[in-house]
Amino acid sequence: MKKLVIVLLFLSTLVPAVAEKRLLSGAMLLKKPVFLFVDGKDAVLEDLNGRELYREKNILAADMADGGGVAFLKRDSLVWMGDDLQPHKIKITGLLPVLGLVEQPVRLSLIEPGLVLVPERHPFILNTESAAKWQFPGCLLWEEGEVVFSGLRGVWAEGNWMLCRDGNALVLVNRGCMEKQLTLSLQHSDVANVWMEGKTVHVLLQNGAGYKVEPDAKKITAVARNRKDEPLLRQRFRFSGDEKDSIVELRLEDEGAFSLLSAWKKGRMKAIVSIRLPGEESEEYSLSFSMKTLGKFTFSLRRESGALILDFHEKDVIVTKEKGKIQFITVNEGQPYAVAGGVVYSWDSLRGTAKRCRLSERQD
Amino acid sequence: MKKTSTLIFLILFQAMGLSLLAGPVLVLRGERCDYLYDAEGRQAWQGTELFAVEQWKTLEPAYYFAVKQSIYRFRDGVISCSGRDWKVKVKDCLLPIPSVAVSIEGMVSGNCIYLPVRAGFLVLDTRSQSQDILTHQWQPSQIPGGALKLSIPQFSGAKEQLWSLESGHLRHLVNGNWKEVVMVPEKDLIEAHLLAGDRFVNLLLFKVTQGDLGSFRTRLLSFSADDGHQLMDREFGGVLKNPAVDSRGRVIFEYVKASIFSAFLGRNKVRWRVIDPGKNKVKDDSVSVGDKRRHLFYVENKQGNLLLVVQCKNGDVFVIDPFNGDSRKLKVGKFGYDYTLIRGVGNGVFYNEKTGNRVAVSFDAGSGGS
Repeated sequence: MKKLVIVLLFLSTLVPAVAEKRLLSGAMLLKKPVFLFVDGKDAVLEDLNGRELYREKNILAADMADGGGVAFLKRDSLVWMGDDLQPHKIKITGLLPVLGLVEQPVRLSLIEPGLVLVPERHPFILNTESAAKWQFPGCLLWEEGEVVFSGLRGVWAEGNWMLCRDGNALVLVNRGCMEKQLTLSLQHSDVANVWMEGKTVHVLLQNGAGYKVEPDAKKITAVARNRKDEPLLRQRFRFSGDEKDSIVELRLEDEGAFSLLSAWKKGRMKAIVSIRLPGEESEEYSLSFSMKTLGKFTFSLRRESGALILDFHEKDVIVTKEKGKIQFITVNEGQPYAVAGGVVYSWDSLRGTAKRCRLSERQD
Repeated sequence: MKKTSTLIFLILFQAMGLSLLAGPVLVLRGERCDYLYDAEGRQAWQGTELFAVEQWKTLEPAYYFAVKQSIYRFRDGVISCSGRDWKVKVKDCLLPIPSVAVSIEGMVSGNCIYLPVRAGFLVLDTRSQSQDILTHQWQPSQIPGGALKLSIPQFSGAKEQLWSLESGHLRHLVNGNWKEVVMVPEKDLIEAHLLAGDRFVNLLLFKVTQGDLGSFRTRLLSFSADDGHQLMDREFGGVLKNPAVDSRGRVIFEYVKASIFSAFLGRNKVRWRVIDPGKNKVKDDSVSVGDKRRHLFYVENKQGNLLLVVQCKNGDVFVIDPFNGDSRKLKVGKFGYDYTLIRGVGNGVFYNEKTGNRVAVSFDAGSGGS
């Protein structure tokens, strides 16, 4: 009996270890990296030194975005904060039922610069400056066998425009007044990238086709697919400290059918990333990735802490600009840590993706 | 240049035609039978049979499903029926509010619709109008990038048998608890499918070894739908395409021989393989058709068996009974390539998605098509 009590006492000391803080996300706020943690049912914002900046109690989910601020979702409200860390509260009358199933706080995509998603029963996107609203059912999808809440992942904000994916359509909205300007067909494909050049919005679809849209003139020019020089991905990206955007492109090396086949036989595929800084020649970087899991060949491109992350399922390539020079750093199972731009990135083997961590977490 | 501008015009047309495509006709794809619902025409097809739909005038953004010869609409938390004056309120449904008309025919089993609600499934018997809750503990999983996913399990047979294939685990609901049946081995796996029938539930694993194109194979694991015990575990070589399951749970594949010899000489042949987990029997068969095979569909006959419908490159359509090998050519003339088959019980309708044209074809023995 005594032994059992000792065992129970020992087990009870382990409980706080389970309820330890979890890192959800990180972003640049006030040009400094800030980290979002879950502490039990609370969300905590901390700076690089581990100093607590803000705490929100009893949350369901939270999110943060570079230059966009932080959002906390609670059962009856949504709290968002900008760079100034001043909380603004929006009452939620009826929460989306799917989100009511969340038991431990999670990260949900809820905030983008100037926009916040309010996941009511009829979800809407709120322009945090003009207070204009856009009804957005597209944040929830029902497909055969699953219900997915994708949040603001299907929303692109470029200049004065917002593009929302809704079913097989991409709706272009004037984000100032939140009024629909025009609709594009997704051609049963998905969006690979959205960017702006001057007054033209460029949309690249995953099937290789795309659109050039002049929203003011309501002019749509369709771009045919299968152009040989068309990159797989093209994105405008502003590195921290830059005044202008750089252009980032991703191409597969020799992407003909036979080379794809031989790449698959070898088990590796090569891609070329090129980055063109404003007014300079482009710099290229060749990277190789595995094609072992044939059905799972996925990659994405995301921004974190002023850096660009190319996210493949086996490794991440972190692209930063330091002292005017572009740097490419690979993080994967074999090289699990990297420091870039004063931020530490670590490899999360559970999710197969790089995440930020605090300097103090570095073991070596 | 002319080609490019034609292409651009086509894409533009497709972009403008969005509202046309999302027009007043909705295909309700079911387990064993499909419906074609024409809201403006106030009619629906179940196979070759046409029935009237008294309500509603337009195809509003809502969920739609059909049972027997009635169309049901689920909107603003209320299910209503086209033929009868009754309404059922649904609380805490987990499905998103739709922005277009969406089919949930996949959630119909027998006379019942299984709607995912907070506590599990609301089981609504459309015939007796009785309601029940099938308890299920939902577990949302997080997807990187800030998204959340909820997997909906599958039903086998008319009884309340729930099976789920999720994150590499096949599970079976026994007395309200999920019991692990098998963990899906990841080695060489391309895809895993769950195909459920009344008596047998099948797990299909498509595999290929890295760097070896000749190594395409399919592993079939079959289980008894009642108690979940394993009946069969076999691996087959070759490329097996278009898997389907009949109402009992017998699996049918189209079988393609992966060789240049067969690609040239066997192009006018349709090969298939029928697997009966109950009798532990595997049967291969083939039929010569007029020209290279283009499309292949399955349709159920009145006995609950599946028939193979094959369209050739020259437009000929053949109906094959895969269980006894009987085949016959339909006498309805040529079809275009761009069509969808709407399956009825014992009957089918060829439906052209672009033009909205319907060609009704009867698959009953002897009639030769209509």
